[in-house]
This record gives sequence, C-alpha cells and structure tokens, in this order.
Amino acid sequence: MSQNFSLKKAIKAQAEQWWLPVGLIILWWVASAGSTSFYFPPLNKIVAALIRDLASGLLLKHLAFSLTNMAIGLAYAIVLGVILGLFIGYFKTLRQATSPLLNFFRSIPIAAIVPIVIVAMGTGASPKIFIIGLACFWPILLNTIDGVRGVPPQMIETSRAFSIPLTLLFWRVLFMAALPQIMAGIRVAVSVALVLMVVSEFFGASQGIGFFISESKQHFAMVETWAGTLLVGILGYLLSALFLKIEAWLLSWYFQEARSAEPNATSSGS
Amino acid sequence: MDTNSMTQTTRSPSNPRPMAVTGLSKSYGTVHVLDDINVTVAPGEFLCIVGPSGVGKTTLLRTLSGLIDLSAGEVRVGDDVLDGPIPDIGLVFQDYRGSLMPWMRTLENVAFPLRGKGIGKSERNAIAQKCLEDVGLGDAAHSYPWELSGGMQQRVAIARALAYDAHILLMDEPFGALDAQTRLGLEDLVLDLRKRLNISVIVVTHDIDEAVYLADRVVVLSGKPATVIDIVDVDLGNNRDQIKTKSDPRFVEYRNRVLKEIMR
Repeated sequence: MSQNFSLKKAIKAQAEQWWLPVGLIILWWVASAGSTSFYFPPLNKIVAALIRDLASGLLLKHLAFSLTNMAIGLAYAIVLGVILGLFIGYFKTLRQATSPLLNFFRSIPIAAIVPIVIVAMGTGASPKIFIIGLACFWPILLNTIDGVRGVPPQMIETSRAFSIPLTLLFWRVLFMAALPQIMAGIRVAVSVALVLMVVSEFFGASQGIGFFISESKQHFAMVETWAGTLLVGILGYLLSALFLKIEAWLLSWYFQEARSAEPNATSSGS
Repeated sequence: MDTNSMTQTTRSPSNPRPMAVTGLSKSYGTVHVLDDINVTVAPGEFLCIVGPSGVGKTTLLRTLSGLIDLSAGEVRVGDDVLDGPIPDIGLVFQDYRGSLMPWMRTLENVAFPLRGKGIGKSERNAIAQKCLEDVGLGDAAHSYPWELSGGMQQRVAIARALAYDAHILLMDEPFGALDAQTRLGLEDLVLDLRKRLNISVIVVTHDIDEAVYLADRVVVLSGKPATVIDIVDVDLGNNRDQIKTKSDPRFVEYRNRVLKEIMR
C-alpha cells in the first residue's frame, strides 16, 4: 500500500517537473512539422540529423574535443580560483591589495577577448582552454573569497586556540566552511564554460561542437546547425544535472544541517 | 603570532603547571578595558570570573588563552611567559555551534586538534573516543554535531579540550546558551572532570550562583577599566551538590557578598 503510494507521489513529482519542457518539445515538433522555411527546418529532421551524426561518430569526435577543453579549463579555474580565493579571503592585506584589480577584471566580458586570444595563441586547443579557464576563474575566485569571509570567526578562533597549522586550517576548516559558496561559484562557472566552449570554437577552429555549428552555418546546412545547437542545449542540461548530483554528495552535511536546524528555533541567532 | 615559542616538551599530562597573572592590562586603542589584574591558578583549582556584563570578562579569558596580546603585564604558565596559544590550555566557547565543525563527525571534531600536533590517525581516534567517553558521549562518536542537542554539543567541545591534553580548561560562558536542566548537569560534569583528571578550570560567567557553586575561588571584576575588586574563597568542600550545596547558608552568604559587589 505505502509503496504504491510513494510510487504515485514520485510519478506526480516527475510529472510536475516535466510537463512544461515535454509540452514545449511537442509543440515545437508539431508546429515545425512540414515547415518549408529554410531557417526553421522541422524538428524531426533536426533530430534525425543529430542522431545520424552522433551515430556516425562525427559529432562524438567534435564533442570529445570540446568537452576535453572544457574539463581542462574548468579544472585549472577550480584549482587556481579556490587556492587563490582561500588566501585572498583569509589574509586581509592580500584582499586590500587585490580588490581594485579584481573589480576591474571581473567586469570585462570574457567573450570580448576571444579574438585577441585566438590571434595571440593560435588555433589549437590551448587558446580555448585558456579562454574557458579565464572565464571560469572569476566566479570561482570571487565566490571562494566571499565564502572564506563568511566563515564564522569562532571557527577560526577555535583553530587558533588549538594551534591548528595553516595548511590544516586552510584545507580542513576554511575550504570546507566555504565549500557551499565555492560550489555555487563552480555552478556559475560550468554554465559560463559551456558558453565559451562554443564561442571560442567559432573563430579559428577546426574541430569542436562550436566549429560544427559555425561550419554548418557557413555551408547553409541549417538542419545540422540546429542539430549542433540542440546538442549544446542537451549538454548544458546534462552538465547541470550532473553538477547537482556532485554537489548533493559533497555537501550532504551542509544540506542535512540546514534541515536539522529548521524545526529547532532555539538557536541563539547568527 | 608565534605559537611555537613554547614547546610541548616542557610539560606532560602528569605535570600540570600553575598559571600566574601579574599586572595584566589590556587596552583597545584609547579604551582601557582591563587594569592591573593579578591572580594565580594552582593546578587542579577551579576559578570562576564574574562581573557585570560588558566589564571585560571575555577579554580577560581571551588574553589568558593567548588569543589576544596583553597591553601590559604578563601571564605565566609554569616558568614560561605566554605569548600565544599553547597546548597546556584548552578553550571552550559559549557558542558551540560556531566552534564545532559541522562537516566533521563528533570523533573527528575531538581528534582534529591532535592532527595539528602530528599524532597519527589511530592514536588520535583512540584518544578522542576515550575523551568522548569521559564526557558521557561514547556512543555519539559517529554522529555529526548538528545531530546532537546543545548540551551534548557543548560536551563534545569539552571532550575536544580534554583530548588536546590541556590541563588548564578555559571556558567562556560555557553553559549560557543551554536550558537550566542541561546546565546543571554540565556543571556537575565539569566538577567531576576536574576531580578525576586533576585539571585546572577557569570559567567566565555572569551567573553568580553558578560561579559560587563551581568555584574554589570567585574573582569579581568591576569598574571601567575593570579591576579585581574581590577574590572570594569558597569554602564549601569538594563534594558539591546542586540541592544541598545551594541551600547551605554559607553558599547564600557567598552569593550575596558577590552580588553586592557587582551591584555596587
């Protein structure tokens, strides 16, 4: 009985989440069926092309190139952003020294420097990795700094009182305490990375999903252009779903603690 | 701040050392908070520091812990002048929520300071487990702090100070955030730990009943800047009892004496 009930509930929850996207896809499918517009081909043709080029391995090759760049760029950004963020967040002198610089660089839209980077670094994978890494670096760095600044002073004080060495303080206290905010920064970075992964392949590239899209467009292959675009959308969705899973796993203590604090109104503030 | 200037080798657990405060003053800029504080704490002694709120009790405790510098005077532990946190001293804060790490299970929280001392994992965990048992939380080793009640969390904080092998326990309003019943239980726990482990305990509190109940001596702070206006020897024996001790006429006498001084 109760199993049946929870199954029903699960189905209901899924339905509530999916009716709108599924509905929109159906609408697109039906509305575009039999379309003769050059720029808006029918969805069934787009999907057919997508499946064909995936099955042939062509899109997989492009995808592998793009995703590798994205993963490497993101990894650089995470490592550098977190480490520098921990230091800048913790040491006030460092924070004061870097703050004008950070405020300047964070406001430059990275897409604007893509042409310069391509010119300077050539057309291989490295300019793409550099662009993705640079763009992802800022949200991660800034969120890490904020996260460290938000660590309860008592935690740092406790660590000092027990003479916790600096490496242990950084790794087991500051990093962990700032992790919820760091993850928020990485979440932003993942979506930024996706955008720049595509944009960086629009210029001077010979492979990658962005190259596939722009190349298809160059040859007026609108169905393929759409198929590539659709693939990027699907990729974005999968990446954010994957990210949520990783986040829930890494921060299980954080979400559980928040839940445990809810019904209990006796906490004395802050 | 240099935290390594006092080496661990100068003490062992069987070698508790007295703490001596002489001429301690503390100012923040032009604000003079503490003036010429003199007090000693013998090994195994229980000292309570009371005073009106805002008088500088917490500041005093923080200077005794080595967390903040003095403006004048000195604090000695044994023969060594304190100039930063040292392993002799374990600190327990009022806000247990902010001082326990929510991503560490209870056992790891207690063992964490030992990691900084370079003690291996299995030994760390064994010590932490023993100290959790000392505070009656042997079963809670694998819980997260936020799964425990406030009183239990504060006991974890006490276990952490014990595991650190401190023989001087500094406690800043340790029971202030707890409900009355939990509070009484923890008072007796700390009295019992002191007796069993022969540690010195210094408690800052605004609760005069608590101070007289716990202490061998009560230090009364008052004034701006704060000075020690009285040190009360509490002669109520070593076996305190929440009901018997607190209805003892001498208890009432001590309490009234301190109360008058604070309200003066």
